[in-house]
Amino acid sequence: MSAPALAPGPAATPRATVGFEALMERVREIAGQCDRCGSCLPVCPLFAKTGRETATARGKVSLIRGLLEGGVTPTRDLFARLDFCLQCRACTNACPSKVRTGELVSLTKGYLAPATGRPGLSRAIDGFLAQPGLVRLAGPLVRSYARSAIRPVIEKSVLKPLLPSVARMEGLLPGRRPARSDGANHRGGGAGGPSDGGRPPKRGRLKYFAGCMVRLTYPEVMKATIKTLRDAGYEVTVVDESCCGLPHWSHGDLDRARKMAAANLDRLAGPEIVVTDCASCGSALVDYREWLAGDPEHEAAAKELAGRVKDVSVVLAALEPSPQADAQQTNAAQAAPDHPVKVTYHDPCHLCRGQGVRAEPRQVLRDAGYDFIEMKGADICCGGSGTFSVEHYADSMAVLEEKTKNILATGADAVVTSCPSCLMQLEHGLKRYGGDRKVRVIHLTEAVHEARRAGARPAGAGTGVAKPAQ
Amino acid sequence: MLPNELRSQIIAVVGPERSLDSDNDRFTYSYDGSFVPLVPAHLPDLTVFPLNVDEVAKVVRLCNEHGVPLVPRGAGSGRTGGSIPVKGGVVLSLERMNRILEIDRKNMMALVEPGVRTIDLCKAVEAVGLFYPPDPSSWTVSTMGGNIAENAGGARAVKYGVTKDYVMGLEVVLADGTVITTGGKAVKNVTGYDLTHLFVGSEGTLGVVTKILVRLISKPEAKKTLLLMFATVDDASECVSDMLSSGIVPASAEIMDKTSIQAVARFRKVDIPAEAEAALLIDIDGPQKLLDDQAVAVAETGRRHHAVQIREAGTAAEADELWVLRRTMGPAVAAIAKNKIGEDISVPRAALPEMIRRLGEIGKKHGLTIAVFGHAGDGNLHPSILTDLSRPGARERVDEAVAEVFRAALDVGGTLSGEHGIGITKKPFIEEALGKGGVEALRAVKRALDPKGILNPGKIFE
Ligand SMILES: Cc1cc2nc3c(=O)[nH]c(=O)nc-3n(C[C@H](O)[C@H](O)[C@H](O)COP(=O)(O)OP(=O)(O)OC[C@H]3O[C@@H](n4cnc5c(N)ncnc54)[C@H](O)[C@@H]3O)c2cc1C
Repeated sequence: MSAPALAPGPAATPRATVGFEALMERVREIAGQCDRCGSCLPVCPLFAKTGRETATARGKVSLIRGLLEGGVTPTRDLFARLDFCLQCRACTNACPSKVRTGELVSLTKGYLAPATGRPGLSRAIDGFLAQPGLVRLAGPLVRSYARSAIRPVIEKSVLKPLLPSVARMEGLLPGRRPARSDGANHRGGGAGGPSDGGRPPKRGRLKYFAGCMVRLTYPEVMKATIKTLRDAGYEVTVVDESCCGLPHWSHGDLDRARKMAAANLDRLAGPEIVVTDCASCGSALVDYREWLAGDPEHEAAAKELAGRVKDVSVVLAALEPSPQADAQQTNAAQAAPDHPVKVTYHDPCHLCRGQGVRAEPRQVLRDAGYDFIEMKGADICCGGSGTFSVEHYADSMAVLEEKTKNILATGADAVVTSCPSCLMQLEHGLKRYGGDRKVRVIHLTEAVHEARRAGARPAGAGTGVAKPAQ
Repeated sequence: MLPNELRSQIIAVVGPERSLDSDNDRFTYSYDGSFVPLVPAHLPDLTVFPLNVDEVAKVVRLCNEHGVPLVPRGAGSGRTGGSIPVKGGVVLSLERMNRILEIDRKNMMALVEPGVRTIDLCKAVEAVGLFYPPDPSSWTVSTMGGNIAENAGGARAVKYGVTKDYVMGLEVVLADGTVITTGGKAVKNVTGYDLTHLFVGSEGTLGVVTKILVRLISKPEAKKTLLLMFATVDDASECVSDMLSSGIVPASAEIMDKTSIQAVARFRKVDIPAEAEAALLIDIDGPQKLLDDQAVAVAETGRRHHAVQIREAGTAAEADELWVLRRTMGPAVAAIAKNKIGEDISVPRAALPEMIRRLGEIGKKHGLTIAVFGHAGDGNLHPSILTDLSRPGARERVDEAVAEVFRAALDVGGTLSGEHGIGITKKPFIEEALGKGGVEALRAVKRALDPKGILNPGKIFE
């Protein structure tokens, strides 16, 4: 007997939510499944820090039920209570009936937003992300701000006090991280080959969905992902002109999220496996079948896409481990003095609970020759969660402090994760709570790529040779 | 409504950080784990989170001076509305007084604050080779204060007893703010009335518990978990009865019918043979060298009662998974119907098969599905009526069925509540259970300790 983590069982079959009636029916249905037993209380990271019932799933579901039954009024404060959530899904995971609080809260926010409005920051960010052209233009700006080129200027400028949210966010954006991956050109789609060693056998074609945050803040992750996949013998097409829509969906901007989802369905159409290196994008792509359920034009395509989306760790784990993994580790330590030999892994919520992927990233790290150490509470949210860390800085930090302690306790040289939002948050945590300990924060594909380079092995090493056909 | 001045005084005691009085916050302290409807909401005027006994005493004293209702609250996992502030006033949440103050290994006792979660105490003492047996299915959530106030039981009650069997002493804040300490570490103690046990099961109506001293026992050396499947519920209940009377003392013996198992199976993988209509989940524990013989005896009893399948958990993980299945059963059953009216009857062990038969008849008579699961080993069942109360006539049929369930329980020598207490949901039936004189005696105790009736008013009896 096994307990699948949030396996989409019969109760999770997507239900129509397009249109007001369908939305309300679904809200009623989900809210009605809660037994108020409180199983979600002890696992909620925000409840642990604030001790407030409104932070928990039971609190939120009850407020929504109160709203439906006329005991709670649709106010800005209600919206804010529903918004106070890391979307980490620990509640659903612990729930005896797997009540889908995340979906319920998004739908209810969608219902409330026209009346109550949405917080300014999420509105601004959603608006920005919805415009690919603007995002592309702003890319270098955001990046250089993040990477500290113009940061000192803003920090000292008169702008800072005028922009409190930016000022706070400033602390969250990563400082300069030395780029470590060699420069595979990520633009220009399919045919690019590995830059070192011979061309490995072709394994087939993949579409790589590069989300906004990877593009804007972590282009080196993007490069590492592309490089790693190409080195393994895949032909990679990069889809990098759009946002997955998750910020909009979770802020209750349902219509815009659905439009973006529909557009992405077109971009991602085809027989290829769709790979993501952002846990949040990946879970959003899978969840399109929920967002678009009841939309006759798109629901079939959304369902079909869900079966084709794979986190990059899943793709890499399916490759055979290198027989020389041990030798490689030794090589690695010699080749680059600060090469992380000891690593630990932080599970992004949207990967472990959102997509049920837990074992693969760990396996990939071991296969790449790293000395892997499990940390305490690896699958507990880091407190980042998109704009949450900016809008609720103090609460976010309270969650992050504990995460950082757990990372430090492993004695690892680097913490690896697979979500840019987590990368950013963890970097901030180690800066803020890490003291003089130097622990690097890197993406899984960077870790794989570095191991290969340090091991000076031919392309495809680390996650080596093809598995025999089954 | 709370007079403004009093509100400020109370907030001054705990500080604004630990006081909540906005509409949405108040709403989320208006319910518990019972099926009492959310709307119309029983809103508190204010919820406060004290950190120590002094703060508790000050808040209680202020409420008493002004005659304002005060409702102690743990995690709100209660099943009978115990922590619902039906008369408004102040909700006093003990959740943040959550320290384990001492684990005294020599005397085998632990001293805890009321907000400690049951499972955290169990884990902490097991880490040093000791054992705190009371394990309500809600143990990941419920607080020790709530366990004391409801005299909580659990699956292990059949062998080890319930909360009251482990409480050695308490620190209690009385209605007028006086702090008293009852009992202590001396195992034998006949110094005046047994006040400790007066507060156990008092549902927050006699005092606020601020410290709890419990006794611990040695951790059993080993444990085995078995799952027995039967083709009829009758076979399963007869099997438990027979097992107990033949001298096998399982650590736990849980019964569950097909509806209950299927409810859990919607979310977890459960392997059940097609012909199974009921199951028994049995734990046996003790010295390693005796366990194998016990397991054989359990299996033999099962076979005598036509068990269609007998399985032993091969690993600790598999055993844990079986127990998660059982512990999540209540909420999972609730999710399969629009409304679940869950009960908590308790009957003498020998009457268990008879009671289960009667439940079947009551369900049939009223055309209602009644899922049955519970702590069969000690005769404590949670029959759950599954229905849609918005359908015409449903409410009346359910009310009749509930009344018949209680009557049947009393009839076979049992009672209304094994472990969930009376709260508000079973209030209408208490006189039938205790008689007029019995209820009057409860009232007399209440008047003596809480003359103004400020502590959790409207619970247990009018
Ligand atoms: C899924 C599920 C399974 C359950 N299984 C079991 C089970 O197997 N066995 C069992 O016995 N119960 C069970 N329960 C019921 C419930 O968990 C218990 O009654 C538990 O003891 C309540 O604890 P709590 O902290 O949630 O208290 P609350 O629900 O907050 O309060 C319960 C009562 O205790 C009073 N109270 C709380 N703290 C104090 C204090 N410090 N001083 C004075 N009074 C106080 C309250 O006023 C109220 O009357 C279950 C409930 C659920 C939801």
